[in-house]
Amino acid sequence: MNPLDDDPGVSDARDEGVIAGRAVAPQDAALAAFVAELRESTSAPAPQPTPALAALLSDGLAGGTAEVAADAAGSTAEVVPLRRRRRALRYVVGGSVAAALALGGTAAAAAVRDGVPFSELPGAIGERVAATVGGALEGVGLRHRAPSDDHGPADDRAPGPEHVGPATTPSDDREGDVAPLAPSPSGEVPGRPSEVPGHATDTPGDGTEAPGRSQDAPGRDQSPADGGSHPTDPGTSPEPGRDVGDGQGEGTGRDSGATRGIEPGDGASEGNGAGGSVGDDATAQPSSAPTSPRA
Amino acid sequence: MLDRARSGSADAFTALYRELAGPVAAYLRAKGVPDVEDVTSDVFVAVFTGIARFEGDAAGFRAWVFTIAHRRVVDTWRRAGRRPVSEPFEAHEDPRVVPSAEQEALERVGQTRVLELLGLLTESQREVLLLRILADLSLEEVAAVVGRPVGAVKSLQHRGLAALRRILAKEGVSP
Repeated sequence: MNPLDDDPGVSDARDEGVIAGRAVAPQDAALAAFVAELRESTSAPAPQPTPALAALLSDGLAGGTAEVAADAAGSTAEVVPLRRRRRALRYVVGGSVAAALALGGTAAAAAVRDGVPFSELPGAIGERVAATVGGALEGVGLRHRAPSDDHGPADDRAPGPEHVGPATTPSDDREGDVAPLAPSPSGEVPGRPSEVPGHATDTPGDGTEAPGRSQDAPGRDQSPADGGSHPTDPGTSPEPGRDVGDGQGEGTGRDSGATRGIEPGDGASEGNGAGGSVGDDATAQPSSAPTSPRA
Repeated sequence: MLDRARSGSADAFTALYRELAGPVAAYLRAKGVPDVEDVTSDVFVAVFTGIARFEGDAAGFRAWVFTIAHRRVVDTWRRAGRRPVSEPFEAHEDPRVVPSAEQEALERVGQTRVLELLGLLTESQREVLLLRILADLSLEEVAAVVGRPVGAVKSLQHRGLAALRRILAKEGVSP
């Protein structure tokens, strides 16, 4: 034991000298040489960077922050945000469904109570009411009676431009689905409630993509016979041609959009196989958005 | 340079890597990390992707980089399911037999001897001395990196140096 070790101040200075590569005491020469040798190892060339680091060194973070970060963090960091995103999307969809049902139900109740036809409700509310009521009627098997009933009385009640657009051929139905891009789709809604879910879907979708897709859900959920009942119903429907046309043009296209929008990949094959071009086009962006991070 | 690095500048990243990759690799190597190149890259990927959150000066940045390196070492050993080797270093048992460019430069008698001597210290003493010498950190910065009080770090440094002093005096040789 060196007597200098007894003095904390001296030993501290001695230690710090050795750490700095200086031999404060003569007997520390070997230790100072050891430290110098150890420090020299830091002057070795930098190791070869991995591809992830090489990308950072060459490109920086401006272009591909998320990509490089995901590469670096591994697959767990990739999966968790996707799950969270999907869960959040479900909340949004659920919230939208609940809000649409509440709004539609309230307005429908008010309309029934006050004897106001849907066609005379304000545009957005009328759409939602018609969608909700139409869906509810579908649920109890009255879907095709409702359109015919609505067509009849609606034609009687409110003839004119409101019914010109919707009351067309099935090929026009596709245009009808595109039509909500126009600023005022509300006029098309009351005339044909069977188209209402499509319009109600598309209309919000023009403004905000996710809510637009989420609005598809109520229509689908409330009308489970959307895809299945159409082929069999025409026989009972007063206007088979139109109803079948509605089912093909809207139901499948809309289903594909809703399914792909909510659960990317789950219903894509259904939608693409049966859906119309309108449905695919309308959901091209939303469906690609959630899948891109996975790629 | 740190400001440019925070903004994601590739040039700043490259400059920081050139400045710190050597010390980080030397630290990892002295800690016995098996795959020094990969872990060094992992450290700097973590540094560069998280640098926007770093607040401090150049000295603080250096300490932060070695904090990440220290944690990577701990993670490496934890993943391997064993603790760092604390038994004396034996040159003939060194698994790093595949020479690389930087390893060839380090394969000098002095370096081997240095690693042997470091292997005679306890893990905590070795950690403190490596961070002080290779990372060039102050006592306070080392204390922050290893999560110990400054007094404990100073004590570990003193005991480690005293042990080396005794060994070198007994052997009567220099590294």
